[in-house]
Amino acid sequence: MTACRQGGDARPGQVVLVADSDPAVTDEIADALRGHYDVRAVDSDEDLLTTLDEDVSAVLLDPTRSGAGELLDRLATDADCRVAALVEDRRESVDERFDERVRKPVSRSALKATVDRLCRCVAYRDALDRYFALSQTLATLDEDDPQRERLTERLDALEAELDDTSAPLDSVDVYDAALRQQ
Amino acid sequence: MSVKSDSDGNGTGQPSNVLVLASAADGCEAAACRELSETTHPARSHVVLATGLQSPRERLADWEDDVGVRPAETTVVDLATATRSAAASTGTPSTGTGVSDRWPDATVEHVEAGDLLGLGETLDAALGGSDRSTTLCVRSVSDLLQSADVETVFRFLEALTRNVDRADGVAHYHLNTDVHDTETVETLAVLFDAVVDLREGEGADV
Repeated sequence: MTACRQGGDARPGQVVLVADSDPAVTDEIADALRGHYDVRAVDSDEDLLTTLDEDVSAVLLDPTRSGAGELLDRLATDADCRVAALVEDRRESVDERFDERVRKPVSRSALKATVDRLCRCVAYRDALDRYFALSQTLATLDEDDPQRERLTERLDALEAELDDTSAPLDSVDVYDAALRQQ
Repeated sequence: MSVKSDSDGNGTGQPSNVLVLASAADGCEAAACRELSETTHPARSHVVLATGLQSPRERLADWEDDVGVRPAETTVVDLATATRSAAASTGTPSTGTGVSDRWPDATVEHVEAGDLLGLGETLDAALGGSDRSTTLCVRSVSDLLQSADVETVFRFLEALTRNVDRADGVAHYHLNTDVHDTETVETLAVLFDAVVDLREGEGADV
């Protein structure tokens, strides 16, 4: 077994890192997500931190595995990534830095729903940041600037992307994603 | 007064989210507020008044002067600002009714200065808290910009306008153009279905 396995029919930009303390559980979760996301399954402690980069949208992490605290420290400074705790019992107390919990053994439908929600929160915020930057650029242009038409088209496309990405999210998730400190 | 409208947010021909641009010297802001609040007659609707610099009591008094009709239900969401504490910090219960003898049924919710997440969640609860048609009046976006930078306010308003749409509500948002540069105003304007510009010389009356 390789320590870090890439795979699946990746949906561009949606990378999910899976790191349970039990490699068999890591494999099971990774298999359930492949085809929907670009999955990185991590077994070794050494690879846990090096596998986390800016492309990762969601992390599924066993809070009891070694290196979990260090990974959470890294994630605390990164608003572009969400993290769910892989727990034996939903009532299990976990670090407050976890955004969500997934109970083991995992139900495939619950797992996909959770990962979809976390990835949508990240994608919504990413689109929102680009929407602001573009709106600000547009605001600096003269009425007759030749760039205006092209940028307005991009703005319309971004509005459609924001609608599409946020549609299944509830309002609490929308506010949280919009206002989370980076 | 000029009106720019690029779409209606709720498919009814009525824009869901309208930005109202006014200079402090203009006298017609009250009329615009009244007109925008009468999509459903206030006597049959739930009116949510978000206030920053004005106290809830002042805000209700202004509503009475500007619109003149008592809503079927009234909620005031009171956001503390850098220059005015929310009443919560001066000993008033954080939530309650009876802010004034003249408005015994008004519900008042308080939000700490700069807590846009709390403001969003409080407004969301108010938007979904009644079976009646809901009208939200935010006075003002300028107050929000006192405690947060333009990017944060932009992100907050994107989420709020989205949630007004979802709640099938209508909302208008006042912005005092005297205290913001043109770039800030134009950056925020993209978030709204329509912009009503009340500044003199900004176009023909509509």
